[in-house]
Amino acid sequence: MGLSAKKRNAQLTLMMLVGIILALVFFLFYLLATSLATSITLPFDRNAIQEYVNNCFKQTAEESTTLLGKQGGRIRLQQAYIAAKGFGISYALKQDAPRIPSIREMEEDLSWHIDVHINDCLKDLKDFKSQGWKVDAGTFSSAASINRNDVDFRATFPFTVTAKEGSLTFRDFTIMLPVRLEYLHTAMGDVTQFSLEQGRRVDLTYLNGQDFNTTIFPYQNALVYQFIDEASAMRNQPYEFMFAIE
Amino acid sequence: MLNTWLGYWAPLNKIFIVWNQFNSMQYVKVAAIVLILSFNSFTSLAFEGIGPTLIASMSVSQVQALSPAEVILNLLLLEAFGKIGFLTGTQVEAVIGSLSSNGLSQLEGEQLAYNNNINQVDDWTQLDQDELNDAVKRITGRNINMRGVTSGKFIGSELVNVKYADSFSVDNTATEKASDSQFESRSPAAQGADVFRVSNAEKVTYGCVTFLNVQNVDFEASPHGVKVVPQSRAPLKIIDCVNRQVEFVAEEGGYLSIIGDDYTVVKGTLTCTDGVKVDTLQAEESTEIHVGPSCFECMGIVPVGTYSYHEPVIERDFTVRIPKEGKVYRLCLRKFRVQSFIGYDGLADFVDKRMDFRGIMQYKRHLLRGGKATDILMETAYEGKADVRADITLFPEFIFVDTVALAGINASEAPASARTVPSNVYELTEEIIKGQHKRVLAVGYRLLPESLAQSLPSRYDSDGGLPWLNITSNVIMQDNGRHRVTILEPGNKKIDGIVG
Repeated sequence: MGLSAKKRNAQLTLMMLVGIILALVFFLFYLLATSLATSITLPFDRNAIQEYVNNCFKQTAEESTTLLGKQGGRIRLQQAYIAAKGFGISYALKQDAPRIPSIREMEEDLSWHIDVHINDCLKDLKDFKSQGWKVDAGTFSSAASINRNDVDFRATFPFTVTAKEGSLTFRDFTIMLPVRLEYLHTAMGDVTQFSLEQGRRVDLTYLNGQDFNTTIFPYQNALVYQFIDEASAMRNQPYEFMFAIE
Repeated sequence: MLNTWLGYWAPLNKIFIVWNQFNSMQYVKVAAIVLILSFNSFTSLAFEGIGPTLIASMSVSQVQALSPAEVILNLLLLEAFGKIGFLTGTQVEAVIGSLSSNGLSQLEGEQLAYNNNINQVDDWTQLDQDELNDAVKRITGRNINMRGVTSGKFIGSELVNVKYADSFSVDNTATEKASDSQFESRSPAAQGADVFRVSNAEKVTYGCVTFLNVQNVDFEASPHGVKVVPQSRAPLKIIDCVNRQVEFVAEEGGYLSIIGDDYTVVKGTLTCTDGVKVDTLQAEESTEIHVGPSCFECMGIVPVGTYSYHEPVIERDFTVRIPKEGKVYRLCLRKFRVQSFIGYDGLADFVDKRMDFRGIMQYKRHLLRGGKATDILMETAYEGKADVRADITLFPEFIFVDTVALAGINASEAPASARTVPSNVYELTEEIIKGQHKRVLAVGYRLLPESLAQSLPSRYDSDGGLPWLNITSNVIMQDNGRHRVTILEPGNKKIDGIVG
């Protein structure tokens, strides 16, 4: 009887200990997760601050470039397009009229989109302010430059960060995305011209010679071309460039 | 003297005329003869024995010495005493229209042939059939045999119109139960062939070839063959020497020529049935066909012409059409393993399940959905547009195509060398555009998913320097080992994954 009571007490103590340990572990996880989500500890360092802004710049540029590719070289869809989920596929050819955006238009769309959406990432530099730093920022203004094998993005974003250690001033930011937009744009132009001249037919010889995968499919009374460029990979994803031929 | 006593018989002329009005009433005539003979006995006494007794005893020369008037006056007695056969052709010519059936039956071939006396006989059934045949032989100089001829007419010595004949044969050509037919011996217009123009006949035979239910067909028969020229689009059924069931339908100006196992079709359609399998050749110009144990073997098709293969499983049907741009096309059909052909432009190999086409031609098949034909009409599955070669390998069921392999694409200098249509969604062409060889694909991107046909081939290859195409369920993939081009059909589920 006495032995049995002792055993039961020992088991109870063990279970309580396990429970307390588990509660502690969960509490520590909660603290860690909360602190990570709400604040970033940044060193008051030029490179770190530059890197932070560049990362935002790059992230936004990637999003812009991704959208531009999915929408056939346009971000601002002013003319008719094929509605897809979360984007619209613009026509490169509709009613015998080529509608291919120029490189300059693509660059302008990219810049516009980045300028509009950069603050989705920068969040008025809240992360800097949360460090107790004083931030004095101007306007973010970017310019994209589409090359054959990549896209250069330059931004002017004057701001000063002041902390007890001193002040740091920033202005110019540059990033590059390895997206062969000019190459893909040229391919779109070639495909469109062939389609126009050859009754919307597909030039398999031309596509065989291109350095990307192509998927072609009928959709909403148009023929949609999807170029999938492994060499233009962003975030480990191949770059996707789509346009429609009607 | 003879004229004198014959004059006493003048009253008999009236009887004679009436007589001929009753020429089909044999019993009445016999009774009349008996009466006349009785009267003869009486008049013989009255006119010194001159009368029917004399006619009855007249020799050939005596009969032939009778004047036309005497013949006419004594025609009744001449018939009665069987002396009509003694008359000369000239004498017959004068009285033939007045002869009774008795008299007609006494006419001999020579008399009938004389100056086409036969033309004055309305009812040839009254004539002795052997004498009739003899007359026809004399007129035409040909060994013609007729039976059951109702009437006819000769025009000159070469042409005979026959109203109806149970049978009519010359050399190895014969008609049976033919009405309104015409025979022209050794017609210059038919290069010396005998011409039979048959409006309607139960049967016409040429040697061992039989033509059934003949309606408005001209036959030009010569020792080495027969040319059949239908005058209407009515199908002409033919059973040939090895019991093949053949049918010919002619277009305007079309005809069929048969020389042994070689048929020539000009502007018409020839169908040959072997069990459940049917070969059909439609010639807009002309086609020479050599037939074998199982219908067609090899054909020399002058454009435009179409060969069609049909069987109860219509999904296996196909046609080979030679368009007007093509040249004379030699198409052979391999139906037995022991058969082998050389020097062909196209080969349909039923044994090894493949098609080998060279040059300009069109290969047509039914569109398929769920393995079944969607329509009775066939669509082009492959078209050679230049001097290229297509090796089309079918699966054993002889419906779907394993591979379409094209050769000669790179060497071709034609603007377009080949067109392949895997289904109603796609059309692949090999062509030269702006000086460059191109493989081009047309996509039916406006087609509704429910209207898609199955793709016929699984693989497409050409020697134009491009990788082969894999075609699976209407998804086409061209993979060069580094990059792929994929074409999805309307409604493919992957499309939703791309557009969201």
